[in-house]
Amino acid sequence: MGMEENLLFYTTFAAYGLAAFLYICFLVLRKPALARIGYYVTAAGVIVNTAALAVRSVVAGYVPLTNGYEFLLAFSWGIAFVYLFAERKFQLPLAGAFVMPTAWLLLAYVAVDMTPAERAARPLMPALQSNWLTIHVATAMISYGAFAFSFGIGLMYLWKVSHEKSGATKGIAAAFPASEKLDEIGYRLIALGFPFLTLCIITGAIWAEYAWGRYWSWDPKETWSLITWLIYAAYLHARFTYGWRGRRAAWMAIIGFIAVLFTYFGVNYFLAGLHSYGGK
Amino acid sequence: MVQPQEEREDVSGAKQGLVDQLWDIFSSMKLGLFLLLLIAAASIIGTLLPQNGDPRQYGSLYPLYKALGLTDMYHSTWFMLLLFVLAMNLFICTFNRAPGIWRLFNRPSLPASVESIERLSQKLAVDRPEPADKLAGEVVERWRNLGYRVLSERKDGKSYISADRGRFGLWGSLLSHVGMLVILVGAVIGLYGGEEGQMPAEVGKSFRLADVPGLAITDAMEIRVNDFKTIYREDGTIADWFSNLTLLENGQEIVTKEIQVNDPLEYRGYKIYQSFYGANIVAKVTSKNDPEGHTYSVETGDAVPIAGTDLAVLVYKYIPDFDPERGMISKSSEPNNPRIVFVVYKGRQQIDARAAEIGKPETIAGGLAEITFPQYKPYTGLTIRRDPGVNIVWLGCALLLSGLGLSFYLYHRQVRAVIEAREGGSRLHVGAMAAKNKFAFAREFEGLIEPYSRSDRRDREA
Repeated sequence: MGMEENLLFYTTFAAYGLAAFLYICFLVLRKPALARIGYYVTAAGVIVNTAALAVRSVVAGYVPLTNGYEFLLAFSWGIAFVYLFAERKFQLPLAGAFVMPTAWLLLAYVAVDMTPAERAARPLMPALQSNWLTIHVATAMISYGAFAFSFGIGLMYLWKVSHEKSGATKGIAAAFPASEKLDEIGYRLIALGFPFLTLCIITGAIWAEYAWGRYWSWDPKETWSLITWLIYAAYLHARFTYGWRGRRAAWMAIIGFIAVLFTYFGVNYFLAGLHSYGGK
Repeated sequence: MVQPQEEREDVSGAKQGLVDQLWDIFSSMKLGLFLLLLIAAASIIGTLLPQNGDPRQYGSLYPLYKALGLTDMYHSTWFMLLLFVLAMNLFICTFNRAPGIWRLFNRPSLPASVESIERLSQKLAVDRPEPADKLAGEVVERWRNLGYRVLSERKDGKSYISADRGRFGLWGSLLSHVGMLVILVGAVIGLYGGEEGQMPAEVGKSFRLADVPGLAITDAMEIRVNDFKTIYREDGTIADWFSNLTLLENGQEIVTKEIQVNDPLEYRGYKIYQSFYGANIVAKVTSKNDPEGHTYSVETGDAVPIAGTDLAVLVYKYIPDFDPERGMISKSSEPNNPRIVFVVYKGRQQIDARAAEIGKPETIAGGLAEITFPQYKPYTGLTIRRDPGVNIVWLGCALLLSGLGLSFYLYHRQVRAVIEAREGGSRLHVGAMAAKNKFAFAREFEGLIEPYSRSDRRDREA
């Protein structure tokens, strides 16, 4: 990995770390300036993150979404990018304290656990040389970004209701938006992510059909993406039919994102299959 | 799915026959939700237990796993049954819901009474100075301009108005469920009507599709392999594999195509994929104890013993364009200087490694033995598949995606109003609801009623 790439990676890592720190400070101290700076630091992080992805695509000569390092860089981009827009849309800077640490932790995993050799751009194996790969992973980024955000909102929700229950009027959670609003925002994010997850699975299937002649082969990664899809599908059905809101919805958003993380990390570590090259 | 509280309930309360009861169970969302989570849970088991593995992998519990269908779970009867019940549930739900959606889409009902409006989640009741007719006209006009479909009627001195927007979104959930069903149908057709076979084929040879194990073809279709090449990159990694194939039918050439990974040859529902590769190598070994020698047919990675010694030769790698300076990395993808790299073992110890020319004897172990590779014939590994369900699956995916798009990015909202004449003006009752995006809709609702939301604007302005 070249020096420029390294520099861009660590700058992104630092920016998301700083943004997470600022948002957490904002959560505790409630000084609006902290959140504002956090927002700009996040925006700067996204710009550097974009540059890191761009440099990688020039160095490697392909869309940089093929190994564990590249995908994590893209994953954190997805989270921070979705966050920038959603924060503005929902007027919810407090969520930064819950969402940005996720983006930072993903990159921390790269920094701590991946050797330079694992991060290096490598020539693509033949099966990966497909345009479908680009759409497949780009859609994953957006849906994973939205799900990461809904996970953060789920945590906020649970905190908020336990705070409301205790009858306290002060404390950190007092500044959170009303619990119904958090619940609704969580839903909106899942409603954004779900069609993208579906598109991600479908483009993966189309690609597999071209590469291996089989659009679905119950490979562990495929199966786990289906499990994730089923969890979010269950969330949406329960919400609309049984009015499952609030606590149960928040828990499902949390479980859904754990399934997302397992689909990404757990499968590579614990289960073998066609996607093993996607690992570290 | 995405309609609120529209679970089909039998309101008649009359006693039901068995068919009705079954119908109710099958059409219930409870069953659907239960099935979704059950299939998710089952799939988790399927990823934790190895599938189609060697019996030894499962240990002593193998007979139990086998009996429960856990060793090939996704094809087991009970998993199929789960999918089937889910499909039935989807089908009946869809069937049940269609007429209701159609009514809402096609003929929205006018509000029946002021009370029905007061039950809605967003509402406003306000006295206005305008006469009832004039106000009704204004309201209709305003909502139309805001992109709503507006219906109105005058009855018993009151004006009834019903407006909605995003009504195509109503079809979203139905469409996505139909899409899921179509995918399942396509998958079943592929499972029972599809076939697959694999064939290693040497360059220059042809084979009949009917002879490929796994395929039940009676047509006189034949494949000729004109060329097969592995393309290497500068750094020696493999960039791609190309097979130049000609498809013949009754001896007539139909089509010639160079296939590669991600780009199969398609003809009459058959797809021919570049899926593996290899080579048939002949290795001849002679030694002092065995001057007649032995001939072996091997592939790369195989080891050949040398009779009467503890020596063995491992056929390591084929290099099409050997250059001593580049060592194990081929100079190009063309067979300009083909060599076979072999490694000599004494016991477990590697004592020599050499790159042999095809047909030229190599003396090994200080003249103890001699090895020759008289023949190297690469073959391309082709997978031939026919899946009559695959296009149905794609159609289902398209329906599913458009359904989700409609469902989540276009949402249906309804507004209803009753205007009554009052002394010196009128009284306006407005109510609205949206199943989704409640907060966004609350803001939109403010906009809809903005000019009327204060009971007497003229007073305030004065």
